[in-house]
Amino acid sequence: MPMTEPWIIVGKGPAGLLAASLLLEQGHRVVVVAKGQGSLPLWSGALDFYSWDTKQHPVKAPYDHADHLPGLSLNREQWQAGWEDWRRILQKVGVQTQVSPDHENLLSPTLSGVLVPRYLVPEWQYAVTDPEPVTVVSWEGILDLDLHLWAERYQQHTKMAAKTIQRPAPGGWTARWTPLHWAGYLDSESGRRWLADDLEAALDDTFDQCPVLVPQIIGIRHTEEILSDLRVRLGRPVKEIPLIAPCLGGVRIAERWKEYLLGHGVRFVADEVVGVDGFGVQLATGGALSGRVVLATGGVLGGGFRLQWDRTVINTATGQSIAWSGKPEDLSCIGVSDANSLWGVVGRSAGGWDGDRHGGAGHVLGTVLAWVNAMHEEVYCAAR
Amino acid sequence: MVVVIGAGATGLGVAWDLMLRGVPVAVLDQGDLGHGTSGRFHGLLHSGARYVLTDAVAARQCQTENLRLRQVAAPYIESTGGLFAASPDVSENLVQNWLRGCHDAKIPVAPASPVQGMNAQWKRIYEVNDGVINGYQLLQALARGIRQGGGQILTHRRVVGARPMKGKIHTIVMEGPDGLEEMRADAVVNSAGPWAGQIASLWSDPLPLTLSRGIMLLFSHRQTPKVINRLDVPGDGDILVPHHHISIWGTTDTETDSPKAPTPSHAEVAHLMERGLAMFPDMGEWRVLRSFSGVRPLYRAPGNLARETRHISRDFVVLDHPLKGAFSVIGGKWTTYRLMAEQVADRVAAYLHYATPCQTGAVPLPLANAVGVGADPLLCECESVSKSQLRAFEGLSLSDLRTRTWFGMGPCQGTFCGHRVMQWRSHQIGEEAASKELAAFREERERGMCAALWGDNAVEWLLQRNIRFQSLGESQRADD
Repeated sequence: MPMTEPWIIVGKGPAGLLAASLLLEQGHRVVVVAKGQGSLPLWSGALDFYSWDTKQHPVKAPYDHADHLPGLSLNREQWQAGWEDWRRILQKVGVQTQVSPDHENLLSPTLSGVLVPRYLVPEWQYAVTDPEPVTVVSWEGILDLDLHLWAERYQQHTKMAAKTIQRPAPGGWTARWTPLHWAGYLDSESGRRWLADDLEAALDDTFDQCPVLVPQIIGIRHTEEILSDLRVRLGRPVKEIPLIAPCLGGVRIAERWKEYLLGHGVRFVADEVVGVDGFGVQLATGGALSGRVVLATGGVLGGGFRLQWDRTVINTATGQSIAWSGKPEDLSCIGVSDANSLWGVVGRSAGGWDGDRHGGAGHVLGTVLAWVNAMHEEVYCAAR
Repeated sequence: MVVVIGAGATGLGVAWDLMLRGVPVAVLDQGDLGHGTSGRFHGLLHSGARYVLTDAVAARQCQTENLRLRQVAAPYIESTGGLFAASPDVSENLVQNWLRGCHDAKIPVAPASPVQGMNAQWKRIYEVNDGVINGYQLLQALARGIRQGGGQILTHRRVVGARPMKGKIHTIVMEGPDGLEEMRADAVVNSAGPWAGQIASLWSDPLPLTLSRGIMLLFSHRQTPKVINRLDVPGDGDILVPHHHISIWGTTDTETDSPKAPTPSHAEVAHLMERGLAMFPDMGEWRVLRSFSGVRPLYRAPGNLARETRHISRDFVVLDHPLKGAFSVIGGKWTTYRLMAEQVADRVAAYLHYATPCQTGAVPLPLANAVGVGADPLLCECESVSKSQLRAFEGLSLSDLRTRTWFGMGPCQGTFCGHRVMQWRSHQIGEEAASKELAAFREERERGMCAALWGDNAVEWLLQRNIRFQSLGESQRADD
């Protein structure tokens, strides 16, 4: 009988969940151990491949910058196959994504009105290959989106018109509403009805067909249905502009992805890993899990690495030191440098790439693919 | 009309004093209120016990003014009390000398028990009447009082010239947002702190000014209920001051030649942490927020050949100049600002033949305007700053708004509120100008965070950059 040792993924951010999903597809048993919530609630849900080049200029075609892509040992076919895998996994999880047919970046607006390059964008979010005139509707109390400033920036950068319509908040709204409160309301029957009526009234005297953009508050559970119904009722596409803190795009993906994995037998353990060896992990609560380990602990940002006041950096899962130049600008790139055969490292903790400067999802995918390649035998020899 | 240069504690204190004597005043500052030394405070209302071993004059002055400020500036003083704790290395002889010194300076002192978190080996502990000064609010109260009394305060005006007539000061020339302006002056007070030397050079009379830099570490949470001092001869890293929900640990003392407060170096921060860990073994685990420095304008008395700035008295001096009507004040500390102001005002009033005596020891500072925490949405959640609170300070830049309302000073250091306040500003000054203000605000916040880049603060800094560049689309390019 072949060994059916489970895989232990430490961390439930995008790298951890992607690794878990790929292993699941190959028939492995998977346990995800995580102390925190993962980074998804802070994320719009749009995946960057390579959005900003070394001079911080926006990138149209990531594959033109092959020299700078994370995961230098991957060729174009491997990258494309990897992105297809991620798309497919998201689809299974219940998230449809848009991608440019030419494998180039799409453009998607931030809450500031600036269009930024994105590679894979969930269907609920507005993304295009070329800018076009838009109409933006928002409601009182949505503080992160300033319609006036958004339109000014959008028009300045794209030379396309942005019409804005400010609407009053629904009855029952209070100044303490966060995007989560809005989502809860709009997921409900009455909230949905209010939204459709209000948008219809708002757009009543406009006769154009350009897309209607709204802040990312359109529910968590029923987002796609609501947007689809609105499209039918208004006769034009309705898409979201992501906000921040919390980002509903990331919240939706986190919920659905976890639900999917749980439904397919992946075990989630809420605990902190305080030791790793050749047999498995030791937990803060005193227990231990045996299996083959993959660290997806998120680097410094995710809590996988901890900076001490004397400027030493510790890998919180293993207790080992991580090398750091001492320069703040290098912090996003530090990682577990030695190829360690006892455990895999993916995502930010693998280091070597500044995802915040160039594009984070690309780094996640690159490191996961590199790990899969290194572990080929173990990953693809499924034991059922 | 008296022109006071410098809107820090000294300048505003002088203007308040003169205004109460009926003297017309105008205060000028190159920046906003307290943007210099007074705004980079430790915030300690000294009992004076720190100085009993080395500077008896300062010790006595501090105790007297401590009691007086509790009378006239009560809303801006917190009566936390303070502890002095001696490490086992400190001789019993020194402790006895210290106790005697407190007695001589009339500083009430009593044996006390330790507070949680202190090194349990430090068993000789005494309580004194230290307090905490809310510096920004006190400066704003002084400003309010001055304006209510008819005085002017003009910020963002750099003094570039002082024109005499017949040997007396006549006109002050300043550079403001609209270009050069002139102001008639019958007397001028140079209370420009670290820049006092530059101001005195306008009338060609150099000052015996020595600049000393001190750094501080700001931690989240009120780590101790009282001020905690090291009982020893004064050294680096001796004092922890609680302010509302943060704690300030400091400080150091290094001679410098620039009035600008530089970013603390790693070596200085590490040194301060080492001193702190001896007193508070868990300090390495505390949530650090940032590190900043301040520059002290010290008076080096003639004959004082002290090599280290620590040994220069914290005493202050009021100097005349050959240019009649020009007075400079250097030295001193927050705790004794009122006394410094009184001595300056005495000199100026005598020069102008005003007979009214000083009233700042008796007249309380005005109260804060009631800015209600309304039901309107919070732009800054860490510090509970709402739009209506910002409206009270309409016209101020993002950086100045920060010191008035405390937005951006909480754990997130502006990550989630910077863009919101910038959006509000853009309605007043347009997108381009507001974006520039946001960039300057971000840069300043980053400098302080990077000077203390560890633990949750390192995470916060990375998160801030991630949010700025990924979610907000802020440009990382210098040319934007």
